[in-house]
Amino acid sequence: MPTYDIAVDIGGTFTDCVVHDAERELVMAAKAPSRRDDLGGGVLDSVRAVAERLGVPTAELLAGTRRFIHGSTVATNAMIERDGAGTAYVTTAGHEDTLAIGKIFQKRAGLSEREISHLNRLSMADPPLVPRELVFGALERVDYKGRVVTPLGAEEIDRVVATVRASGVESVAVCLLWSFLEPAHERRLAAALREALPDVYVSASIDVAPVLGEYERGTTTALNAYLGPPISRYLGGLQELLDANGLAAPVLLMTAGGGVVSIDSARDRPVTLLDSGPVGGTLGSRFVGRGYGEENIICTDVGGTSFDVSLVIGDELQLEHEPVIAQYVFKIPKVAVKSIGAGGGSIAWVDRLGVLKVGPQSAGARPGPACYGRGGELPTVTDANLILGYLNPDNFLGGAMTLDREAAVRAFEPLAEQLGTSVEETAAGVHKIMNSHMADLLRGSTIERGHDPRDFDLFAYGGAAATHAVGYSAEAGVRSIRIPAEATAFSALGMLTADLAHSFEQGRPVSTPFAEADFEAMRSVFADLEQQATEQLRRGGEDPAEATMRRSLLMRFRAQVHEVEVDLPDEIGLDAAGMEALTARFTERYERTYGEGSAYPEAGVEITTFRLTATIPTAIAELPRSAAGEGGGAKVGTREAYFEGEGYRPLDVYDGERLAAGDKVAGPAVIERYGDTVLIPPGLEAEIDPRGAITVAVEEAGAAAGEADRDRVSDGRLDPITYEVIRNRLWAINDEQAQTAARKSGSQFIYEAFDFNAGLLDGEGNGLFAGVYVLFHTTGLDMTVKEIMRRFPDVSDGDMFITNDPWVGAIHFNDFVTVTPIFAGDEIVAWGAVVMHYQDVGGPVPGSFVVGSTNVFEECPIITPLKLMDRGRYCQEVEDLLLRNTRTPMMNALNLRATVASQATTRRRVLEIVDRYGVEALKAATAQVQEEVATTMRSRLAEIPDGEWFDHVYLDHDGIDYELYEVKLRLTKRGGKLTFDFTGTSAQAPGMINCTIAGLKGGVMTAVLVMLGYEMPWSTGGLRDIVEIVSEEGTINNCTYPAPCSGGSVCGEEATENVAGTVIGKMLGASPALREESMAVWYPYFNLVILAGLDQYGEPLASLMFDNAAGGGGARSWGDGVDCGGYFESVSCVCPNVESNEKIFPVLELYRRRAPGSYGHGRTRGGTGIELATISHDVEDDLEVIVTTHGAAQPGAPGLYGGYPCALNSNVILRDADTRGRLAGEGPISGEAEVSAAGREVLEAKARTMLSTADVLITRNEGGPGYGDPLRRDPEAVAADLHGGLCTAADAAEIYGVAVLREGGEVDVTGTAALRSRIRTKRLEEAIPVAEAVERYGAEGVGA
Amino acid sequence: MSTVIGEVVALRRDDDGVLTASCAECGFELGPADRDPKLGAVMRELSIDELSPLNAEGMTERLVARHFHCPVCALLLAVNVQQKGDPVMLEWRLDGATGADA
Repeated sequence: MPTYDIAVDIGGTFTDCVVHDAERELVMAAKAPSRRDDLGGGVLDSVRAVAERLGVPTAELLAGTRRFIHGSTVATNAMIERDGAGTAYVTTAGHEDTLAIGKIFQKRAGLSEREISHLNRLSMADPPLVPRELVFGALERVDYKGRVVTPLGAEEIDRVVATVRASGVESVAVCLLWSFLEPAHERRLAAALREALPDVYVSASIDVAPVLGEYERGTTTALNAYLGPPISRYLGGLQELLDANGLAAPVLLMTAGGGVVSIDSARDRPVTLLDSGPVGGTLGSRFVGRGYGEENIICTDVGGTSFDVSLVIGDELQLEHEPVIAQYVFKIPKVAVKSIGAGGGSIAWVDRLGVLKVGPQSAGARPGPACYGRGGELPTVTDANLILGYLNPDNFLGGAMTLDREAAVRAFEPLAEQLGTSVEETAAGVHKIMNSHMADLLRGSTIERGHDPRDFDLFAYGGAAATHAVGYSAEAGVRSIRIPAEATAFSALGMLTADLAHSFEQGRPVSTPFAEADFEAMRSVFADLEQQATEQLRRGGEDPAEATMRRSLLMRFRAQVHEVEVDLPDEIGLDAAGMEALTARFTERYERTYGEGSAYPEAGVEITTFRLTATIPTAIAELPRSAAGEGGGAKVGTREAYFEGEGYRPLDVYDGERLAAGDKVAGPAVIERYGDTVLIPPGLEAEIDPRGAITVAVEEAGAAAGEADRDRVSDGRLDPITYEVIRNRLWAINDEQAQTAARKSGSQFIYEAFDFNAGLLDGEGNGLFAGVYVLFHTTGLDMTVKEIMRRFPDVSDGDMFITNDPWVGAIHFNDFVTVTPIFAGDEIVAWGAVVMHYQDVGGPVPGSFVVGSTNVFEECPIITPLKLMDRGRYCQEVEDLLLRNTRTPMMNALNLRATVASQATTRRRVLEIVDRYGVEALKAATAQVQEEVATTMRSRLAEIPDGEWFDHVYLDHDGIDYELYEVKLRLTKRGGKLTFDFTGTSAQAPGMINCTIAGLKGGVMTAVLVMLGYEMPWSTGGLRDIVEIVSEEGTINNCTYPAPCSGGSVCGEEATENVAGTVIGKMLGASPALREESMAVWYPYFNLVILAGLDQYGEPLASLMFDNAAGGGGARSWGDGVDCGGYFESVSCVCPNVESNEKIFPVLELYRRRAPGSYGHGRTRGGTGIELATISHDVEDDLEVIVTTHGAAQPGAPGLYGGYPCALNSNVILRDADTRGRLAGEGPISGEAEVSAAGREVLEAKARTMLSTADVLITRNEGGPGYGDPLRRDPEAVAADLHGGLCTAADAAEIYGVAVLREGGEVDVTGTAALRSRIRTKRLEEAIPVAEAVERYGAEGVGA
Repeated sequence: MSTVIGEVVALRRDDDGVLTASCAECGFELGPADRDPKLGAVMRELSIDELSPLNAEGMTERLVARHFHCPVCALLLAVNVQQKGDPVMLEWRLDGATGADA
């Protein structure tokens, strides 16, 4: 009778094996080094190691095993190392670029806010998962209701199969538009591929992630196909290896969702294994937590390189529905884990300002910390802990390793010298900063889900956790902490607590009001899912009768974007009464997740996805309690240890193996165990609980630490360590401001388009931090605050102000600015701010971009600064005023509520700093942040030669006249000062394209911060003595009241930003040190197109086409711009899925692609813009098209150093086109040339016209400008663009001078040389000396 | 010892200590470093639709794309889109004292 349960967890350094011996009621763990090239061998090694500890032969252990659970990083590693199968991708013709466009989001997916701030370094996943030449279109189309628009013919299937066969791939993914609603096309195509190509791994999206959203569904399917062949090989080999060594039980695989599955299931859906590594620890925490009656747990895992945090809330694992791997979002529910690069190997360093930093770079396992003696020389966290006396050099890893304290000291000496402190003080600072980073992540992880860390207990495990756990827990303010006895192998242990679980889901949007047909559809979907689950269980040899079938639904409010998973227990029927009960559950859960007042029931609800999870309990029922020691004699000595603020003092040393339940250990002390060392700081007491875990009540610790942290200010300055801690806290507060506002709002504008931002200012209104969203929203905040202080001399605690006045800091009327003073006593110590773009703020034109206006009185109501909160009272009368003047009152009301909630959180968080560190410390920190920003900026400027740079851009069409306006800029850089002089700029226009000084400042500061202020706080206060602006009032980007300015954001502001970015890019090109930062501006002018009328549901429609966020990134000196990379002022913008658009709007997108030649040519080219063709769909009435753009009559922004400017924004309507006929199956539509039409209307930059059901709207956005002479571009890169459809043959030959051999498409080297020579000759033949041109035309600019 | 500006111009200090700007491709001397080197270049005017055929719907009658080249090797130094007949745009000038030493 088998009695063993085995779990094996492959880590980067070690493979852990845990055995549960049910007969002897014990758990035993062992480690073996991971084998990089033979993972299965490492698994067997770890089994052998544990068998040896158990005293059982390996074969006997394996033969007596009833469950063998395996957690592997093999899928994750295959992604990270790009070691998957050669994969093709088949999708609906016209949409072959979906993966490459990546919703823009791909360029920042998975990155931290700090990384995102460095726009110059953002790129799409490289190399792409599927090269563009392996993406194949299939002629077919289904619409948003699952109706076939273009049938998939048998000949087309044969053609696609033949194409895939010819490509020679090992694997193929199939993802057709709307297949999750009507799967027949995809099913037939996949079946044909499987039949015709039996050796090719075929993955269809309907089998992997049948949910709304072709990008995420497509990436999930592509990932599955990419991983399929290597995972199949690995798992087959592993089972064979273990079988050969005696294993009789099947191997089960740990999934990232928290269950285990059979090898067959894992082969079918290897994507479920991605990032499953940290899940075991979360499961273990939940399981062990139940024994303590704890339902809210923060699970923390500290290894050598990373700190992972996950949550258990109400005994439930917290899932994320769109996790990210290697920049690819995938739609597989996964236990949510947040990570930062902080571990024992994190390297400490001092920045150029003398501030101590820790990480994110790590020494890793090899060479590892200096004290390992493996050649590492850099100071790490482990070295610091050794220096401080917290680690025992002779008893590391149970004595398996000896640490070299002298080496650690040597590594720290240079740091100490730089800081002017002792080695011990420096090490103590590193320990403290490490704890602070970890505490920030703890706070962020809980707050992000609307929870407070004070409501949680914390579990700490992983080799490096024990030394820091008490510190970071106290800092974060959790209730108590437990460090389990098996902390170093806790992940493997946790796997033993997993159940067999198969999850199936089906996207099927259904909205209120629900009809009987909807209930029928719901029942049918769940019946299908249950059948799939049953078949899957049978295939795996399981008995479906033993399974628990859990039904759940992903729901959201119709106007909002957040989905919440709601259980559907059997007692709730799929009928009207049941839906009412379900909606109530959903609303309650929504508010619990996103905060009180965030629900929007007036909009009705929508079910998006049906989910069924079949679970068969296989987990062990109870973990044996670790044998506690007998007590007594556990204290084995004392040694000297160093504590910040106290110096050296005796530290009691305990042998963890000897401690018994109930034993107490008073700090300062360490408890040394087999794999870790638990540090109990002074003033705290640990207790050994009956399970052998070390528990510490840390609630009081925060207060105790707070006492120690007061009075750290000397001469108005903080010490470098306290400064780093407070600075990071303030920065995290800024992140939290934005997250809270976006989460609570939930509107598409805010949460998907990210058209908002949050800022934190000092007590005098100087900007400290701004979020990574639309940057110009925050650059006028100092102006707003200072004006409010002038107008309201009696500002009081509990006040909050609101305005959309462009002469008081708003960019245009849609942007509502709210600012809140934060008082400590009678003194304002900071200001919090949130700015949001409201969808409509009244005026004569839906959307409030008033094309045709001639003054502000014809535009929108101006709300001069008013109190939205008055000494804590919410001013309902102000809300009434605001909502009375909009077409979208409910969405605006939600934004207001979100703003108030965000500001309240900000106030509380800032005052927590005051409570802990004191007012003077906060004031010193805010001053030092600005000083740091100023110093960092000046140090960057010091790398740039002094000089002057000049350029100009145009605005075309003012909404009244087809006219050009010019913004001229002379940038002077002298020493640490930048002067932006706009003298010579056109006078303000008669139409709506002007911006005020707020827009002017926004444009300049956005360019400065994005191009020079990367990876540092975006503090306008820090730049106030560095950036000077010279401008004449009454000009187009500094207009005077009452000039019209409703388009100020995408007109005057963007023009300013474009010219400022251009001169800065040029300036950076003159710096040998910063040349790589030189780039052209991104997507200069937003091609803003609004569709208005009635939608397919009969509701009023007036909304932007968000596809148009996808313009091209500017070329960089080091590489091409990002294709469809988004726009300059919002590093976080996204472009929605076609399926999302078609569901919301009455449209069908015929094609959407990267537009060839839309970019500026150059040695490095700009990124492409997007081009899409849209027809109205499912409506009979015409739609109104409202255009507000620039760059439609002239190239929006120049290239740099010989790079070409980008091509034009374009909006064209083909009148009376033959698209409907073609859609019936005559052929694909992938470009304008394939459409016949009676007329072609090119829309001007400002336009209002109608789109009839017979018309096609084709919009094409600017790409990014280029960099350098196109004749210097690598011919291979030109050829690659040519093959990828991103460069035309004419451009390749005439602009790049590249000849390509017809057969094979290779570069013709000789022909290219000849072509380039001819072009050079022609250039000179047509040219005249510049001196002659100056004589003819005169000169302007610098030195003219 | 030279400093390359934006991959098109090299600044060098000659034997007399004077800072000059040269073509980064062929070394042709474009003039002193304290003025825009394009003053030592040649220029041709093209239609903006020669930058891209996608520009054909723009103000082709009113605008011109000025291309500036090294007079010897034809390296493209800059492209300026301006209204026809507008003054030549001088884009940059480094302070002579610090230019090549930065």
